[in-house]
Amino acid sequence: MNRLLAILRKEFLVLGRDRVSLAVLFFLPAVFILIMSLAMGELFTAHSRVRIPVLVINGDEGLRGGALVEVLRQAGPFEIRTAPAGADPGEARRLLLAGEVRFACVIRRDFSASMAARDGREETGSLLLLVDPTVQVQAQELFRLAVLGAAGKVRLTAFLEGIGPLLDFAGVDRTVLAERTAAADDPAVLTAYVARTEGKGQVPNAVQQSVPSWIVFAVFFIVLPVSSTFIGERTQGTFSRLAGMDVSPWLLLLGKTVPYFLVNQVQVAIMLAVGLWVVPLFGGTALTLGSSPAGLLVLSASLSLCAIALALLVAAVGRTPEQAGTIGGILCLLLGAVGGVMVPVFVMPRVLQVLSNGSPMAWGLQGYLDLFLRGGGVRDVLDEVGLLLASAAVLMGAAYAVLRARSVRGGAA
Amino acid sequence: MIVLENLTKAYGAQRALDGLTLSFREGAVTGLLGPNGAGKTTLLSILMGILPRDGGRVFVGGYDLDGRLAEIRRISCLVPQNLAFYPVLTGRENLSFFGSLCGLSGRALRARVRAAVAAASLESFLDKRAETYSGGMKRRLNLAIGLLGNPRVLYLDEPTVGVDAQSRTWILETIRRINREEGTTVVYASHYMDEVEQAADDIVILDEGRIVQAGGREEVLAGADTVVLEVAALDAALVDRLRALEGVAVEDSAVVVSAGPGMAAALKRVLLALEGTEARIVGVNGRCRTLEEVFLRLTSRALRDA
Repeated sequence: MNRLLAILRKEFLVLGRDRVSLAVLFFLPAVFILIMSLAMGELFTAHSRVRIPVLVINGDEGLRGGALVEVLRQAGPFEIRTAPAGADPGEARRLLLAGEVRFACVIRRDFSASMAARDGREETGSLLLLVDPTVQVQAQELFRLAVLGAAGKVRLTAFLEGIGPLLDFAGVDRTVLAERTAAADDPAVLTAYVARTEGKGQVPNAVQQSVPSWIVFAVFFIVLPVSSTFIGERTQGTFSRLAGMDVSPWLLLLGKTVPYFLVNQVQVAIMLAVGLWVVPLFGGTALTLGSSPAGLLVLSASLSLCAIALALLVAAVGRTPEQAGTIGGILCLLLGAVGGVMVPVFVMPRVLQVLSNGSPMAWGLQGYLDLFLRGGGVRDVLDEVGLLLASAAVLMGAAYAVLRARSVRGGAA
Repeated sequence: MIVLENLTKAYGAQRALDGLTLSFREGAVTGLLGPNGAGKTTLLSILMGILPRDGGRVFVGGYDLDGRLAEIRRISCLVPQNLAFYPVLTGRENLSFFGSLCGLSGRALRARVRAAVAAASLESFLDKRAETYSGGMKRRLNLAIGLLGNPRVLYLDEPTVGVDAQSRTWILETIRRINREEGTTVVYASHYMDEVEQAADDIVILDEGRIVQAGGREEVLAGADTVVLEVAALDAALVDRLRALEGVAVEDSAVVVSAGPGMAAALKRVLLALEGTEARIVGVNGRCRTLEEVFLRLTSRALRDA
């Protein structure tokens, strides 16, 4: 016990003396979470303040073109800029190439006639969409669906007007029907979010969805400092000296685990605090933590143990701090990519979805999403916690085995 | 104090220790010499149980390395060649940390730290970070850590690498003093022949994992004395014939005959070889060789890690 305390005291002293690294360990995740929350938080949300500029050139000879523009103004995160009368598609191309708008919608002169065609044979290409190819495909799809929806409403309005006398004859209130058709929302459609515990679910916002990813990612980046300091000590000869003093490799591994575990917990606390209080100061949506502090603690602790165990295995395998940095960095990126930190798992191909089941980052991420968005508690994250702790045990055991084998081969000397 | 019986160790196909049988006297300073890769560090690591051996037996202080490693580690300490401490910690913090791992605490720990600090003369810098120390101070701290457990056996692996002449002398004197006052058995691995010549009671020369010379310092050095014949008009054929003779070496115009029991016979063979040739003896000198010359003669001049 005396030895363990001595090792822990030494580790805390060494860690505390390297104030620059310590500041980076705490500061970077905070800045990271702030930037990522603000950068990604507002896109595609229901109450988004982000507006994607769209140029509309209305060359329609009838009234339907104007109606389309009005419907578009209410649809999606678009800032509709109308071109002066007489503008042609060449002007739209110029603005797109200059990056001043991201999309353009050219309404041809026969648009109204096409919408009102009763024989079903509409003119093709009465509406032309021009797209900046650098825009993400998801945003392109959003724009296309918005225009299709708007065109559908215009066509329905034209249809209702066309069969007006029949509606009157059938006793249908045309005014109410027209208002319903033109409305941005359809009261017939309701959205509800499911939760593990009834009534404890959260209305999702992009901060809720993105913060867990970045917490998991940042926690696993502890692999870099842990492995490089560990290898530094090994190559410096201190581990050989400690071995000669009968200090077991388990004690060395434990000595590294405890301080960095606490560092990880402080990192998580800082990141949550930034999500809760700092992101709103910059105009973002505040994070809400769900309803289970105990679940949060248990999950963060097991995630950290798994990350540190991985770090120790990387440290045991690597021969130089540089090598450990490379291996650790690439491992973090790969586990993050496969684990759904960068791209949601459900949009991945099947093979990657299967692979993601083996990523500790995926387990951590699922756990946080359960807690933050599905109103989950300790029981709901037990599977993830179990997997993380089991992995931590396996990785730590492997680190011990590699260290022992290295010592037998003479690597420690 | 330390007994090795047919000790072997290999790294893959490379034999690091090839059947060493040797003993180190209790209370003596033994200089362990050898070119790079001779097996010095491997031997010290095995003696501390840091490296496993492939074969043979080892006894330290009467304890068998098989099964009594903990006792062996309690009575012995290795000061490694690397500066094996924490540069961001102060000298005091380093000493307290390693002292705690030696099982010391409280008053006993403070007393041992004080003694080690005094032995290594680090008093003025004790509360400064080790990274700010000069090369000599770092070496002294490295040594002081090794003294914390008051070991009966002290292994020193190149303890003076990279330090100035003053620090070297100081470290050597400290080692001798510890040996003298505490009766500590010291095994001192070094490349510096003059250090070993100055500090060691016994000398062991290793080469390619084997013992090529072992004995008391006087004994090893005495065997190295020579008689040098200055010879004029040596031709290549004659040099080859002389070099083929036992106990004879040729260095430019000097024919060197090793001192010792076979010297008279060797001299006679040289004179017979010179007889009837153009060569003539123009001078005769006696020469006491240094340990370095002995070392080079025994281990050859070829680079070992080229």
